[in-house]
Amino acid sequence: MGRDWNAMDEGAFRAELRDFIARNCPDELRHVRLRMPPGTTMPWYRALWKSGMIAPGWPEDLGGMALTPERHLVYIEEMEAAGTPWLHDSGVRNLGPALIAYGTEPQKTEYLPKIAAGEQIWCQGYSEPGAGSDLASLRCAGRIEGERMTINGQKIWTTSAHHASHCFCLVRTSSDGPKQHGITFVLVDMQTPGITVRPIRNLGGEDDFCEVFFDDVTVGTDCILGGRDDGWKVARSLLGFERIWAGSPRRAMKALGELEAVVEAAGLEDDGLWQDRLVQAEFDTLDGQDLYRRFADLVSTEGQIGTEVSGLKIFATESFQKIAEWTLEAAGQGGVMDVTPTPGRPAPAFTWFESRAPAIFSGANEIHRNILARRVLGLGREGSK
Amino acid sequence: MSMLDGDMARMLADSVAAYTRGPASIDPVVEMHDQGWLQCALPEDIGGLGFGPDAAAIIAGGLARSCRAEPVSATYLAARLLALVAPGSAAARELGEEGRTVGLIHHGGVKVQAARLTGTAGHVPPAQTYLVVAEGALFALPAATIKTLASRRVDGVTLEVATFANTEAERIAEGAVLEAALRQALAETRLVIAAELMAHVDVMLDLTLEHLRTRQQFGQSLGHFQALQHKAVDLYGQTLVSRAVLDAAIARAAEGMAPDDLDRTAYRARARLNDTAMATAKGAIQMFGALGITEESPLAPHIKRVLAMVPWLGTSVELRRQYARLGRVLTRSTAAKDTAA
Repeated sequence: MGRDWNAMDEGAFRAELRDFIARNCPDELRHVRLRMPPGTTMPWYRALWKSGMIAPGWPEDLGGMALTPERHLVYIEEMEAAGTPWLHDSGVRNLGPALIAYGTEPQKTEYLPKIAAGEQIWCQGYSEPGAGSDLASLRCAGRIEGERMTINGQKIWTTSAHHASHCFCLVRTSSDGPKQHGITFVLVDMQTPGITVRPIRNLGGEDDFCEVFFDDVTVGTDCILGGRDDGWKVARSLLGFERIWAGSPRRAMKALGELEAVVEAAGLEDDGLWQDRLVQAEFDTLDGQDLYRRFADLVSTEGQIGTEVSGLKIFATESFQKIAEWTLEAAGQGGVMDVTPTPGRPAPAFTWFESRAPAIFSGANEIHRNILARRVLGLGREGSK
Repeated sequence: MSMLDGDMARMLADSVAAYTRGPASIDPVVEMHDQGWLQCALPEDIGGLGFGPDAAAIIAGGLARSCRAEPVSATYLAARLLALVAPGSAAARELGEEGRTVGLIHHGGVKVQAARLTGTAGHVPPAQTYLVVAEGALFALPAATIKTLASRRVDGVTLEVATFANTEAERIAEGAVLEAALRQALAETRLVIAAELMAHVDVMLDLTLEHLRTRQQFGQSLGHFQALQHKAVDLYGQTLVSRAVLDAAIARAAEGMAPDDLDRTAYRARARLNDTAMATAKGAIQMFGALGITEESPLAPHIKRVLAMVPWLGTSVELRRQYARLGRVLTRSTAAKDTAA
């Protein structure tokens, strides 16, 4: 049985994490900004798994740390501060909570241990060329006959599909009723015949997101999570967790460190404008932390995430963008040379590119503004004259 | 000073809310004294409530919803200082027991010679007793003994220019104790002002949302237009952040903090609330349209009060400058130290 990480004093928890990272995360994996392939990072992933520390948010009996959201933030802070690498842990972060909430016992037994052990790497097949912000318009088709489902269609912006062993997808299994109905959440082995993956290069020079083509890909109906035609509710529950994650202040905090380094390197540390911007960036980061903690507390006490969490996502992603813009400005011409980052050195253009994505994925910020306007502020719902 | 628990906080908030639902009073200072709100920072044995910034924030915030918070914040500043350095003084007793208002003059060039004050100070809140910080000491004197020149601030509050001409005053505190207490009282008062600003923000946003839901143009409510929806959401987002920052800051301040940390917390919370209040005032006016720039708009008293409060004890730029002087906390050097530790 695991340990009660939440009962530990925060200082002791931090100290233990630092010690663990120092002993288990090799230096050559630290502070690397480019996403490394799973083969490179897997020793670190496995070390976390073996110590029961790979899944901070999962319950203890399923191999997780059962951290409170507040403690989870501490975990993230320590991992970020030590420069531990980005992991192919979408299975842990995204699929895991959905499996725990909606999975059958055989599904949980089949998938959760393998996800935790790093034996399965999952990618998320949601967006399509014709269904981005309007995700419910997706058309990738799942035709069910008896115990089999045959999938035909295309997914896009699928992060790390070329490294993934499995993909959790939304497919259309019925076109009756509202478009949110008739969507099914399905778990697909990427080795299944008929799947083609094509990486797409982004502005920062990485080719981490992909197009995925499905041509007569056949899986068993036991791969359906949460019931036939009922996948939208699974996807939505998962988005809640993703938005908390997207709303953590970790990106702004990291960007603030880079801004400070660039301001110093440019000899601007005594300049009033840049001193003021550094304080503004620190205020945004700390204020974002206060906001994140408020939502994290709400999740702890009420067990669910309200629609208001969209406000957290907007604030965190736009704070990150502001800091990244200032960093690029402080760096001047030097900031656009050698875009590919090297460990321990600022990479303002790379950060600027990197800062654009979070405001688009997990629902573009404009979509979140629409959600808040209608569902929280009650605008645009009154009868028209 | 005692921290409020949840029940006491709710009771206090309820009684303030009940008061603001009543008719505007002829003499609010007398009523606020009867309730104990005016002197809440003073010890109980001289008629106070022995409360700190958490209680004052509830009082100021609750009263601000109907623009009736004057002179809670200004009196808190003076009363908190008295509670910390001179709880036995006549000024403290008279405020606690009789409701004689006290105003603090902590800026400007007042000189001291043989317990007599000379000089001029502006932006002085009207009060019956003045406390003056000059040359490292705190003096008390009846307001009636000095010459004042009144002028009206944008929110209708009268502020004085006080002229001291070899005026006799009682020295009631001095030295490092005074310096530390003044610093603490100023930081806490910044948070109380922030709470007041939060209340104005809430009211202005509610009024604006109501307007967007009901005002019809082009055959539909304004709330149907996405451009206005997004403007409103941006204000709402700022209120979310502001409330999270304010609540966390007040909770930490009420528990007690090291002086540097208290200052940092207060600078940051005030800067956030200043910015949100100004953004909400501007956004509300724009979304109300021409109605927003009229004197009779329901927004008007809140907008004027926000304009009056924002520069008091620090505009955002000034607060950030002071924070920078104190030293940032999320620096690479502290991160390196933490990692090494």
